[in-house]
Amino acid sequence: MLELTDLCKYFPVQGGILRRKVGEVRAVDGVDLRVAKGEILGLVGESGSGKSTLGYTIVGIYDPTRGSITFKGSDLVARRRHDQRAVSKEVQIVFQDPGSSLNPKRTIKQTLELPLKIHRVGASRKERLAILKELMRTVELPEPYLYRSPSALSGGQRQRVAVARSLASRPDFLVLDEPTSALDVSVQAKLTRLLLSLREELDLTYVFITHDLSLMRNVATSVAIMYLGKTCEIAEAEPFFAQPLHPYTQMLLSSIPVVSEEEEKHKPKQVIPSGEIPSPVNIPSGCSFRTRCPSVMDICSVQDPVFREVLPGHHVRCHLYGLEVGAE
Amino acid sequence: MAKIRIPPGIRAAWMGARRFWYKFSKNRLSVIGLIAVVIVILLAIFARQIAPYPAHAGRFVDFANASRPPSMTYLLGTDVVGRDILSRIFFGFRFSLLMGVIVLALVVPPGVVLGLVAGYWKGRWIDTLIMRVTDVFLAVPPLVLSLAIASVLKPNLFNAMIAVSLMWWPWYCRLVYGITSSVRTEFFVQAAEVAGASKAHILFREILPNCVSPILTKMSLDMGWVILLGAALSFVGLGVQPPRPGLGTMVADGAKYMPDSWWIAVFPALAIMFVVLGFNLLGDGLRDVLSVEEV
Amino acid sequence: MSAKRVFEIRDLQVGFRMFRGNLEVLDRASLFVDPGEKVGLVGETGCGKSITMKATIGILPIPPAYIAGGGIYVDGHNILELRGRELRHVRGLMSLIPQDPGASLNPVFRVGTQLQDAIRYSTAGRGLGRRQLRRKAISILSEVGLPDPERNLANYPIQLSGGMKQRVLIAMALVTNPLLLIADEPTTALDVTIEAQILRLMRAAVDRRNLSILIITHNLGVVREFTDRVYIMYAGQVSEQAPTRTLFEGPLHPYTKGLIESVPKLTGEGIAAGIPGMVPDYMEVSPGCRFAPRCSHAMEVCTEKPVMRMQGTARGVACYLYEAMTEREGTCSS
Repeated sequence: MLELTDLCKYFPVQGGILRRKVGEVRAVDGVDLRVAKGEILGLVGESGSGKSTLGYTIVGIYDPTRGSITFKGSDLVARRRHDQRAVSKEVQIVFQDPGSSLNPKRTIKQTLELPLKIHRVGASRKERLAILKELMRTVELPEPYLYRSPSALSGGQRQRVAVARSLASRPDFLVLDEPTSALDVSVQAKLTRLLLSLREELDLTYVFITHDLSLMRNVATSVAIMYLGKTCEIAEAEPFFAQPLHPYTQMLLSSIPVVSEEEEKHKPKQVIPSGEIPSPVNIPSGCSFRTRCPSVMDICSVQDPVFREVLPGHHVRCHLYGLEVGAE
Repeated sequence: MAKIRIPPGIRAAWMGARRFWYKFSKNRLSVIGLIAVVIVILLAIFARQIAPYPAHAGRFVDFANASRPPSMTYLLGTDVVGRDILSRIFFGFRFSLLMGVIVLALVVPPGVVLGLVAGYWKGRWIDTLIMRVTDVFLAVPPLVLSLAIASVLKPNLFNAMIAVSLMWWPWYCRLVYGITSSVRTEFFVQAAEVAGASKAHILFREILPNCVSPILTKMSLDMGWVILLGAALSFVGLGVQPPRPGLGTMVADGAKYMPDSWWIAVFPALAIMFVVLGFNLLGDGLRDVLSVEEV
Repeated sequence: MSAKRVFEIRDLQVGFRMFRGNLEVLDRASLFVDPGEKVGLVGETGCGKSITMKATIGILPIPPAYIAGGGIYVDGHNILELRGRELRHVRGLMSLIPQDPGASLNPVFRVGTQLQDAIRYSTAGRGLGRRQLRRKAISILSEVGLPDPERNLANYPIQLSGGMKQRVLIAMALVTNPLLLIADEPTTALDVTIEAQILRLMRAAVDRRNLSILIITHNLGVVREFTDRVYIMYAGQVSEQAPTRTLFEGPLHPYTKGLIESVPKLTGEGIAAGIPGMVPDYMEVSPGCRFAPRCSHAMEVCTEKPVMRMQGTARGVACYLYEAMTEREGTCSS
């Protein structure tokens, strides 16, 4: 349904008195990705990985610097330039921070009505109200909350409103940017369940951006790990968790503080993370992970590894797996 | 008794008003300011009914009672032509309030709109254009600019208002510019953009409501300043013209007779102080209450 | 009588006066930290753990907050009854590692300046000269694993990453030689690989200096990896306490069970149902056990406040399901 080819998003860094471009932040640097209909792609990474930037580029908040986005067979960027409203009907986003994703000065009703009005869903005020009530029911919020302002709602409830807003135009594709990260654990569970059931009911496809691999273990159909703008490893969920290949993936998994002994056994052998995540302005040469990689080799500082399919359906960008001659 | 269904929107507004009053009334000074302002407004509106000598506000002479010190008949004394100072002050409030209201009405809408536009398209040419024009107006000292303009035009209250307005609008532009440039990166604005909302909607329906509190606070504080500026212009003869009872004009008239007939200048000056202080306290109180409720 | 407890809160009651009435937040909460222990205080948003922390370090906004009862004992002294120099002295025995490293360092001062200020104003730093201050600052920065301490002294906070800032804050907390560290969500704002590093650092520092630490968090995984003992808090009441291992292997209180269940597991068991209902509004909180409205095992008697039933000194649960446990009320200090 969605295909990204060599997608790049660079931000210029301006400096000096004349504010000339002195460098660039390569937030997203050559990402190839495919999301099939009905999938949940878990896009996982830490800060600086570019996962949110990637999500925003898909949704149209940013224009790509290079590369293409193909959605349902056609070029999304071109379509968006031609008719932004039509595209926004199909591709929507749920933002991370429930505090600021709803306008504090507008009631829930006003916030939810906006996409309805824009896309002319519902011919009259009465019809729109009926649709709003239906939306509230879908996200399991009581109707009277329509007349409240966001400050009267809890974080979990606000996120439900954000989800309702994204569903108002009946999209096919949702980008979810860490929708549960700011919430308490018990509230997270409920919201995640809601998101999963909505996907079933409404036949949606998700790109689920998060840093929480435990969550993806239970939600994602395929997982993509990002580090400093590039993808490290992409695979379907089962093979991914059964056999994480990239050293960074292993480091991530072993760093997760888990809550039970059984989970400890599922973690790869302890990889003690070292060093800081490099700043995206100053990405290390060759493989960007080499400064922290426990298996670093000489070739890693010279050449950036190619993103290749090492096992069926399992892609990795790492020299550890690139040395077989004639492997693919 | 049947339960009356209050529309939820109105109910929420009423609760908000009660909560506002709860917080506002905690600060005694703010309430004093509010009371002062209300007094001034009432006196101005009902001047004709309340003033002991309403006729004294216009053309009136009574040399028999000229320059009388404060007494039971003339509570604040009379001026050199025998007009009751107290009554004239009531009518003087009219000019002060009128000055404030009209200047703000002229200044706030364009300032706000320009601020919204410049802030939203920050970094583009429209931003540079608007903000540099704003800078030019801000660079000139207010009183000097007002004097210059008022002296070119015919001296009267109306032209004084024009003069003050021309140098006041940039402040609102700046205020709204600052808020807009920070609010426009908030997620809810992004969400509206992604949804495909029109720019007009984003500016006026998403961003502007977030500017209302600071704008209201500033307007309240500005009333005091504008009134003061108006009085200053009247004092130098460029605002309210005699025999009209502008407060600044009255101070100017009475200044010549200090310190013997001190009441002629002092009471109007105190009246100016009263109204300006009232608005300042009110504005401070508003700011304390409103600023806490931001995003 | 056992060794003096480093820190103890006894029956603390804190409330807020609001427009709509009084919010009674902390309902006779009690906990303690023994010397050398790492204790966790766990709860979700609004459970009162932040308020407990603020009351302890003295930044509770009074009014509208008010302390209706109870005591907070640091090294045996009740800080709610102290004033002036005595209060400052006892407070100086504690150190805070604050929540958001980005917001906790003053952006207009260099890292070195802020660190050296912390040293200078502590009892340990009285009368040190400029060079000695600098040397001490560099040594503490190396101890917390900050790379290139000399250069970083001259840097501004904005030049440091989140993890590095957190190390600086930990250094600032350690440098005053406290008895007790209070860590308020120390890793919530950090990436998971950095979090792992910071936790190792904190554990090493605490063990090496034989400090006690009270870590406040909502992250159960962090608590399990880091602490010796845990308190679970819900809506201003302490609902369960246990040594960490015991808690995770056999949670007793229905809330604790619900919490642990809600955490997505690496073993891939799917998403839990979560806990039905919502955290209560403190205006409409139920008398007695505040969790009762959401509890599937709620009984009639739950409208009475359940007493913390203890098994030994470290294991307790405040729940009527466990009446059969040894009846010893509260957490006595002797």
